Amino acid sequence: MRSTLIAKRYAKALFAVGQEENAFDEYVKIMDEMAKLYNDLPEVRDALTNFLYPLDVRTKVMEQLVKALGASEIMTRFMNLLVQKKRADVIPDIAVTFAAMVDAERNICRGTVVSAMPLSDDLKAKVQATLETIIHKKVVLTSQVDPGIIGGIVAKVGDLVLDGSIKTQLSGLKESIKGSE
Amino acid sequence: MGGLSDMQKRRNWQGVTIVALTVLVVLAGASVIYASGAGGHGGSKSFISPEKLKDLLWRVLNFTGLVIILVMALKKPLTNALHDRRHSIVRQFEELDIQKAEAEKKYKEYEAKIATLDAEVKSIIEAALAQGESEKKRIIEEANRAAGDIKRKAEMAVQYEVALATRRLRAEVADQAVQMAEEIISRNLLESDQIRLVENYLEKVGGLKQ
Repeated sequence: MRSTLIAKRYAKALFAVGQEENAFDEYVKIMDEMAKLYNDLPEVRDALTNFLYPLDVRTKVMEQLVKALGASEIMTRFMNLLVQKKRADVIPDIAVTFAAMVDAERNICRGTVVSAMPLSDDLKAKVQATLETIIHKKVVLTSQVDPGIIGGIVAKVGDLVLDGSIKTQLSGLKESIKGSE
Repeated sequence: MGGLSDMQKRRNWQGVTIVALTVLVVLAGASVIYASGAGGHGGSKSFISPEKLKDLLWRVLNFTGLVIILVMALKKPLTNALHDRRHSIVRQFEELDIQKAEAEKKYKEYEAKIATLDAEVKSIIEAALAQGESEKKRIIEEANRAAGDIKRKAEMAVQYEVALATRRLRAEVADQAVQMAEEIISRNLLESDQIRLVENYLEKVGGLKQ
């Protein structure tokens, strides 16, 4: 809870700077990649947060990382600030919060669509268009394949769930057979 | 009571007779003694001497006097004793009469009771039979009620089991049917069917939400 509040504070600051600089895309990209590095590599996590290492060493590690990611100067300073303020551990939370704030600013909703076989671009666009019509926002979809649903799709955007899978329909049929007297 | 006075007279006569017989025996004894004295001493002295006779008479009189004195002295106590005895016997007779009367009375009571005993036994038997009949009726009613309850419970249990079995069977059939449907659909669903499914669903959802 505390880390979420802190992450929101840093994300707000970054959002304000990004709005001034009109660099939301870059900031979102760098934050996402940093969060991925932090979550996937324990060595990176250790190098940035372990207090046994001197602060200048941790700062140098961060500098090298953001340099490798091709971050701007402002973004590099933001990341160094996180290390100096001993807030490197909230990088993933900042990334999530910042992305949500940018999406809200751009009227974007992110969601997933699950299908039994890979969807063609045309079909995916149709799904996206349908969802945009329903929620009146721009929708960014991530596709997933799950043969367990047999056929149809299951789309989730925010709190909205559209389940048109054959698996669910058969489950409903099964329940109606069981429940009928 | 007339019987009793006869007995008294007979006893008085017996006493006189005994006294007379005693006197006669004494006189006979004296005669025998006198005769034996005459025969033993041969002719000249065949009678007892007057002194001896006088002595004998004196003795007889003495004895008679003694008897009279004894009779006079003992008469009253004896009479009283006999009189008391007679009264006690009379009382005993009277008590026995009373006891006899009571016994007869009791006998008659018991006889009357025995006469009514049959009716009493009959009424007891009838009451017992009536009670037995009502008890039998009650037991039969209770048994019928219990049998009804058991039957109802059994019917309910059967209905419950049938419903349970039906539900289980329906669930099993539904599971099997859905499993078979899944297999058949998975086996036969083509890519074109998948596209049509998605498009139809989107059409339906889009139409509903617009």
